[in-house]
Amino acid sequence: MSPLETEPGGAGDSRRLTPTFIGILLTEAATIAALYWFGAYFGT
Amino acid sequence: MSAIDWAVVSLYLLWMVVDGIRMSRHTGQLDGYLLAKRSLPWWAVGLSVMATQLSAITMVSTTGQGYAEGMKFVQFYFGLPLAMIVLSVTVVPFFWRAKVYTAYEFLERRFDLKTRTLTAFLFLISRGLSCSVIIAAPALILSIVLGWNLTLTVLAIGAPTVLYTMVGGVQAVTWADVKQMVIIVVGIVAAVIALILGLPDDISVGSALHVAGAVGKTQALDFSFDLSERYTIWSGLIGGMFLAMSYFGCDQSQVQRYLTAKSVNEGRRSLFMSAWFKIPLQALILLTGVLMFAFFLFTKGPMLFNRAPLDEVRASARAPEYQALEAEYDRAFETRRSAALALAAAGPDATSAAREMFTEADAGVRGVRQRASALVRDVTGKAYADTNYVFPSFVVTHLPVGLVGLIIAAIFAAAMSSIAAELNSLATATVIDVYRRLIKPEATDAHYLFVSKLSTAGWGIFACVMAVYAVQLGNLIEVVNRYGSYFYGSILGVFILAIGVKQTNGHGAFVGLIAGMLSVWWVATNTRVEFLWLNVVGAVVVTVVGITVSAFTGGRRMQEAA
Repeated sequence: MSPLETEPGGAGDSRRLTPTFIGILLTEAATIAALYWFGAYFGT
Repeated sequence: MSAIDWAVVSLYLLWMVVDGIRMSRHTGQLDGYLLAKRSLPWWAVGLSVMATQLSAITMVSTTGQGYAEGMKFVQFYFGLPLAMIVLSVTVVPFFWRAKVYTAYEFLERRFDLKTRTLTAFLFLISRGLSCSVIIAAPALILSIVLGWNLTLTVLAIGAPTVLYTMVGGVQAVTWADVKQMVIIVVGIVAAVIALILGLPDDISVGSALHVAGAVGKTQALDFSFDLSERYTIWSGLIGGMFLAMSYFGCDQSQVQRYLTAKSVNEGRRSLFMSAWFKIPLQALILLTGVLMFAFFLFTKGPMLFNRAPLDEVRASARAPEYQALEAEYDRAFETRRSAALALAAAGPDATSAAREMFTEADAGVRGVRQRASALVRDVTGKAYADTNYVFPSFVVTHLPVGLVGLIIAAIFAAAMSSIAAELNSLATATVIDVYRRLIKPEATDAHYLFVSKLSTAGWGIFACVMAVYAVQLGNLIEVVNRYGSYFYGSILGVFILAIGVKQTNGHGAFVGLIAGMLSVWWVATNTRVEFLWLNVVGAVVVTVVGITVSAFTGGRRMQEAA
């Protein structure tokens, strides 16, 4: 087992952060999509 | 600059110093001075993390990049949110609960003294030099654009920063960062509004962006997987993630920010602020550059924005050649302006002929600028670049009184926020990792506090002196990041071994770190692999070599037994 799972404050202690992580990843995906649209819309 | 603008900048500087000195009330002990007794709220720490990363180089160089190359640089930051997620479950809880002052202190507990000392030494060397670049870059540009004396400009940026950092410690740094971050964002938004209002009456923002888009300025994403291409979505996501993990996870100038948070969760939330807002903020700064490009399509700017060496060119035997280029630039500008107006009037329905006409006209202007730059290089015998001068020149020549002062104050704020955090962390590593650990281990808390203040002043003086002698470099932000990449990936590898691989020992980490740096140096000098990928190379080599050497030297148990 990795120290991340077993030591205090490791991943096992952080699973409740999953919704925040999903939010960050979705926001990043949306930002990249918006930048793609920005380039495509104003670049053509 | 008008008297009102001077007043705005002076008031800003006075506010920072007075507020910083006010913070000295809370710095009677070492943990108050260096870690704010771990009492700061997540939002203040989060703004401090962002302000530390956003230096004046970002403001002048990134806007210049937006002007010259468009939005592509935004991809550099794509790995940052991913890095913040990883760091929030790894180094933040590990460092915070280990109750360390520095990231390198943690390495001695996990490995040994030599690994701690080497990483601390690398940090002190690289950050000490980068601190002088962070002062030199805006000082040089402001001194040329505003006609100020270079040494006095270095002192105007450096002296107040050293003063409030030395007197107020990390609390002064953090609360100054909060105010500076607000000033920076207000300054950027004001510049964007001024640029939009500065477009001709019959040109909308959308039309202007369509024109800029015709020459690729709005294109942010490059999906090609080419290791020799500097900014692609892959180098940003993968190389950028490794760079961000190393910078935010292993560099004391950032680690010290979240060590001041009230709890592990407050430390995590402070990093999440960058995960949410960093990419949009950088996109806004690059968009400022793209809008400047659009602005200068319709309003004539100078042929070259860095005017420092032009007197020498005009006094040389090749002055007539330069004059001829200026006349050619005037004609090329008018041709491009007409083509841009035609393209803007057509909007999204523009014909390919209109686009082609504008593209050719823009290439004409760029061609004249390139020949003029080459002429300056020939006459002066020095490198010449002017993209870093576009934004300050625009501010000084095209913005109204008051707003000039605000944006100059914002550039000062961006510089000072990064310098303060770096001085504070350099002093911390000097005292905790060198002085207290290697030179005088048994002194009183008051003595270490005194030495911390002395060390802050010492690093500040070193950075200012180095800044005065720093030479003009190409694109400054890239220089800082590129040389950072020589160490960053390798240091990250050591922390991956420390936190992620339980069986490794100090010998493995130490040998791995040296092997990682040598590998990065070899790849950088013998291949065309771009600098963001060097972070991946360093981290991977350190991890692989570290695991291998640890296996041959008895793993962690051998070290514990010894």
